[in-house]
Amino acid sequence: MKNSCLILFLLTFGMSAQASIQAARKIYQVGDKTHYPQMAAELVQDKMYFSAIPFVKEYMASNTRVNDAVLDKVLDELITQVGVKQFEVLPANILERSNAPTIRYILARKAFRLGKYDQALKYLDKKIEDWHPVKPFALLLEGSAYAVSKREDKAAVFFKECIDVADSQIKKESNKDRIRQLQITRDYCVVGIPRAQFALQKYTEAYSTYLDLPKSSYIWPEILFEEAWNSFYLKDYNRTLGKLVTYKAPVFNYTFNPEIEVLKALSYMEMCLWKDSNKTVDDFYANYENDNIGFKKFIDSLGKDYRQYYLLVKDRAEGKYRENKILSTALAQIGRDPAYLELYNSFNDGREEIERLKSLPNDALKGALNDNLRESLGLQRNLIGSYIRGQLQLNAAQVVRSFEDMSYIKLEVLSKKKTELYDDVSLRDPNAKRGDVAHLQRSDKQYFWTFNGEFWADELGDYVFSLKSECK
Amino acid sequence: MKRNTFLSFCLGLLLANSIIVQSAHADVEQRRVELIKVLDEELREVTRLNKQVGAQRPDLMLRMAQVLLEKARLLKDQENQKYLEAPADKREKNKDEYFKESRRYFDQAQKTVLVLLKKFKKFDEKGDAYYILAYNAKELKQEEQSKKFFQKALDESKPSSVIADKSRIALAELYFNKGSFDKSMALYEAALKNKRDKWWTKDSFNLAWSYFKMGKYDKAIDTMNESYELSKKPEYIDMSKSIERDLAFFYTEAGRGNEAIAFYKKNGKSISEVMLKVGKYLKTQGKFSAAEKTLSEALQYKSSEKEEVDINIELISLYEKFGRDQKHLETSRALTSQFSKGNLTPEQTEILKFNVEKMAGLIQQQLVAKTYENAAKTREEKAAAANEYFMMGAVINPALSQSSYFHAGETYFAIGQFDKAVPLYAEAIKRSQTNKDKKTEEQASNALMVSLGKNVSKKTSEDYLIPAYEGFLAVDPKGEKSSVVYQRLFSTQMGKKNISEAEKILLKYKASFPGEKETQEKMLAQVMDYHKDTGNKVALGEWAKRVETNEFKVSPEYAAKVKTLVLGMQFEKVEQASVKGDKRGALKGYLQIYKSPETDNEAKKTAAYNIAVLFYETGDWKQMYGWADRTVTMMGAVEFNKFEKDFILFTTDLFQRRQFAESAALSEKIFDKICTTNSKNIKTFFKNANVIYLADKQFDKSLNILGKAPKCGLGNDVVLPGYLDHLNELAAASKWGSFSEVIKKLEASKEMWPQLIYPSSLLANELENLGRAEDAQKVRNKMLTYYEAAKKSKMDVPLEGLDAISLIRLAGLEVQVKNLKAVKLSFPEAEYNKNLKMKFQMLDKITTEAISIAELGSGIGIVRAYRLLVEGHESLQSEVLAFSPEGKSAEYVASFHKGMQKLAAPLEKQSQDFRHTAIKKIEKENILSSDNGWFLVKNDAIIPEYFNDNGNVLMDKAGSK
Repeated sequence: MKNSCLILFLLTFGMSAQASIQAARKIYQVGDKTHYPQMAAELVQDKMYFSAIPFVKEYMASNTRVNDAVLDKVLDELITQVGVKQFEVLPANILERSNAPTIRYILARKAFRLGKYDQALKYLDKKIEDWHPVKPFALLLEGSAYAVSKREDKAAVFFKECIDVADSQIKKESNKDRIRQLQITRDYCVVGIPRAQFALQKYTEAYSTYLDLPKSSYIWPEILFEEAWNSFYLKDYNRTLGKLVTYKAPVFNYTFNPEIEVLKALSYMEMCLWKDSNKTVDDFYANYENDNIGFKKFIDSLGKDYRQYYLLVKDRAEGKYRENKILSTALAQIGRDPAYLELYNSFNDGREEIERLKSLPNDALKGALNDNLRESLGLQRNLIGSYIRGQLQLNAAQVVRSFEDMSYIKLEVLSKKKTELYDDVSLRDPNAKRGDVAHLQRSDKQYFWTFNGEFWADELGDYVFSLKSECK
Repeated sequence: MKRNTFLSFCLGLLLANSIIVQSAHADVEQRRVELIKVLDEELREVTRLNKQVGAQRPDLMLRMAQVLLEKARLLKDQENQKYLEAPADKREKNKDEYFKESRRYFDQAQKTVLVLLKKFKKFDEKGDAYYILAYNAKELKQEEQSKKFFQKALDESKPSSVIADKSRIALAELYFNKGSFDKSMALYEAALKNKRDKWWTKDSFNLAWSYFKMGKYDKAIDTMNESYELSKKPEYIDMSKSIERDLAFFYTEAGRGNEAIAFYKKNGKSISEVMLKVGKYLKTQGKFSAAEKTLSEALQYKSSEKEEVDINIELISLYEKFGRDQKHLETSRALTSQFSKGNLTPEQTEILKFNVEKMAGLIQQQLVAKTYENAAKTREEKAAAANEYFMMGAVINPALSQSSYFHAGETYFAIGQFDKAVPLYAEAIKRSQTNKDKKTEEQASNALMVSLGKNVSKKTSEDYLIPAYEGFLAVDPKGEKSSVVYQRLFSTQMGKKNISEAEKILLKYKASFPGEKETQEKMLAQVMDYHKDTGNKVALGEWAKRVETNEFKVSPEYAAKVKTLVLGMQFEKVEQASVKGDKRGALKGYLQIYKSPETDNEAKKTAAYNIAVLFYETGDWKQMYGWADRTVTMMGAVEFNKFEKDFILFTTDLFQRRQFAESAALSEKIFDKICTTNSKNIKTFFKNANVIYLADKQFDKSLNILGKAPKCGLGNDVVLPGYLDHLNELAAASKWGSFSEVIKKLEASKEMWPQLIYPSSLLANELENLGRAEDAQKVRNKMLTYYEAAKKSKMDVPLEGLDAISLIRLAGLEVQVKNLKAVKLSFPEAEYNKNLKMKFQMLDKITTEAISIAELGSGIGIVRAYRLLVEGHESLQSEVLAFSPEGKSAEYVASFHKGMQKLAAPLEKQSQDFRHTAIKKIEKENILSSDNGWFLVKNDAIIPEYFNDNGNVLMDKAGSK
């Protein structure tokens, strides 16, 4: 399951900004930390989100018994605005002090990442109302927890509910970013069903349910790869290759997934097209071997300098390209990554707080808020940098694993060749002919086009090779 | 030339073989080269992968070592090939040089493994590494080292791993080859628990042998069986041949012979072949009795003659060794028979020859020594056996067969059976002459003379005197006793039907005694009679020529006889001319034969028949008729049988040429001729004659032949239809004189009644035309009787018969309709009602009768009956509606009409129904009748006439009505 960051959007504010700052000041002057949630609420009303975060964290860390009613409300509002990452970094025992739906969601995410699926479900056990902004995300998480626990039926129930709730919230929502978030969540829920089926090796069912995801979806490009795997398990290798060739379309040139080539080589191998398989392996090595060395050296040289990572993607977004093909593509991909974009956008929004802070009179609160803002934005930038570093390292690992996979594929082909030579038999059909529409396997939801090297938006993902398997 | 061909064939074979060997070799070499390329590629890939993962993976190092080892082995194969191809002196000097490259790779593999073991001490696949070291040691023939490493590989690997099993098998093989079967057994047992690879069958075969050697027969057999079953599958190495070879030993040693048979039977293998092997094995083990039993059983399952020979060769030596004389004889007999078919190898022939000669000599010795003097039966049997052995010897060794026959004769001579000895001596003489063995010939001749001088039977004397006579005449052809000897010799040969010898003797006699005319004629007559009887015309002709040319001087009577014979031969020439298409020459020849006073009756008949055939072929019908008639007169009824078909052709030809009288006369003549025979064609000739007579209006002749028919055995099924034809022709020719008589004749047979209806109707019509209405009615009454009887007996009545019956009944119906119309309605009311009631009653009757007529099945009857029915109904309806009482009040009249309309309405409906029914029947039953138009044509004013005067239907161009 892909990492996604949640940003919930603010509900309406009743009071004026000025009044809120005044109220916050009064509470701060009293110096009672137990009232920090109220103070944070006042700051939130004045859109001082990043400034408010440290107060909330401090309150949660210093009080074993928290005021749920106020804290929950302010947490929901904060997280909706700045995302979950700021609070995800808190230890679970501190987060557990709150019963707010959003905190429960964060706890559930943490448990999920640790593979504690039952624990994750337990966090989400208490009802969250359908109107609650975190509801669709919580449902996606619950569905995913059931799916990875191989409880497909339960998973499907949650995914379907997630689709309905997300759709209902999209209708009521006017904020564009928020709508996109909900759409992505809904689409992950749509593919949650085939993913669960895939996990249970119900490839034929998954094959059809994958098609429920529209091509217009933001996540469709990454899901196409899953569909390719599904076709592979259905032994429909021509379709696998057809789906993979879609990634050659210029519109996908930002995609970085070395496994695409691995799956391609694997498909050729399964069809006993050994030359094609070997060529894919050799081309892969030729394309990436040197770049990978440079790529690894580069990320090693950056160490844990998150700022550098942050700047890398920022520069790429601003049109600065890297010569290293792997690095360049990986950065382009991160630049389009919704999780990254959410972190980055909220970070930019945080900068506006600096301007707002400047307009406040110089007093103790301003000083405290200034410290808070620096701390929160610093953390936010590091979170972004950390996220980028994580992605790049993941890519590096993917490349290495792909090299390995490729080598094993080649060794497998060589092993088959050896079998042929040792046993003096042919494992391949000497009369096999390549490329014939007669070798297509189609379902009702698919149509057939001939491919002439051009990619048309409505055809993407529907290409099918027509190679004849040379296996006997 | 032959030798050259053979040589070139041999060379061709040699070349072909060498090409096959070369091509197989080339294929292996090519694959090896390809494999080395693949291994190089694999090595590169593993190295690349190793580099990718930072050379920290022991499994990849292991893989490298494995690939290096694999390559080393392939290179060694290649080098070995080159080494063997090199000249011996050269290769011995530089042996290491030849194997340099493979050595390098073995070393590399070894080094890689050693580095691996040193670097990764905790590597969990160390077993695999040791396995490579073990294999290397094995390659270097370091057996102990190899054993040690294999053991290490086994110790270091997981017990259930592939490498553990491979090591066990490698160790097991080492122990197996050293004969340590207890160890090999244990190792194989552990390794073969899982069927990991295709070699399982081969390894389990060794396990089975290990069991066997350890005396565990049952386990050995079970294991062999399992290996055998798996060998049938393509995924395993096929060990079936070796198992089939060895399993028999196992079963035999285990005392489970029957199961062996069941096994081989089940697997469709030659039980006999296996049992032969077992038998041989038992012989080598000194178990002769068991061997004999096994081999004897093997014979029951033999699948080829070769196998039978192989088994018998084994058996014969057993029988010879243990004095099983009868069995020995039977086996010798069987082997000799196979020898004759060419099925024995030279070695087998020698074995058989030795056995046969030894036994023949042994028995002869016993008989000469009078061993069985007081046991007559045994002596007889022994002599027969010796004789048979000698005869077999003659077959086996034809070049010395005279000696075998002579010794066989001597054997019988020794026990005083001269009748049996004589033919053997005679044969010995003959064979001696063929094989130019003077000595044996002289011995056999002497023996023959002596034997014939003993108390031999008459038959023996007759059979074997000829050689003696011939010998005599050869020495003294014109001597005092020679004439008699010639005659005796001639008679003997003639008695034996040995004609060529007899002829030679006749000619020799004529040459030696030219003056003995009478004797020559007698001998000549015998010779010619013989040829005549056997139908040898060529020989007969040659001898006749010798008489005609006076080469032989004979009496005039005999000369005349010979002349007739010559004539017969001429007859044959004529036939040849006919076959060649020379019809003129053939006719001339046949005529000559026919006319010749010497020609006998048989020849004349044949000549006349052939002349008729020739005239038939030339189209001269007059001559053909004349000669055919003559032939029929001359031929007997039985011999005519084979010419009947030809005569059918003759009569048909005459008929086609419109020569009716001749055709019919010839048919009748033939009919008369074959009257009493069982000829199949008698009906044909009878029918043809009758039909042609009738066609020619010769009614008397027709009646005549019809009268003769029953006497010739023809039944009513043939005769009565003949009379019916006669009757119909009489009617057609208006010959009514004898018509009634014929009908009377036919009337006697009830089955003819349906057929008589129609001709009778013609007679009735004729009588009516002549004004003899009463007679006509009588005939019609009879017709009705015929019909009723036919109906009762469920006999089919011809359609024209049904039409005739319908017409009779329609006449009656017409009268009824007429009567109906005649009754007129009138007032007063009571009168009106009475008449009306009567009319309705009449209409009822008409309806019943009309439907009854319609049911007869005659088309004419159906349509006419409905027409009358409709007419009746319509006339009554219109009369009822038209009637208006006079002098009544207007109200009365109105009320009357209203009442009558109600009454008339059903009549109208009924008439409409009948009309529709009639139309439906016309259409459905395809009826063609003169009344169809009445129903079908709507416009009464123009009714087309579809029928001519004779009632024939006119058709339009499309063929429809």
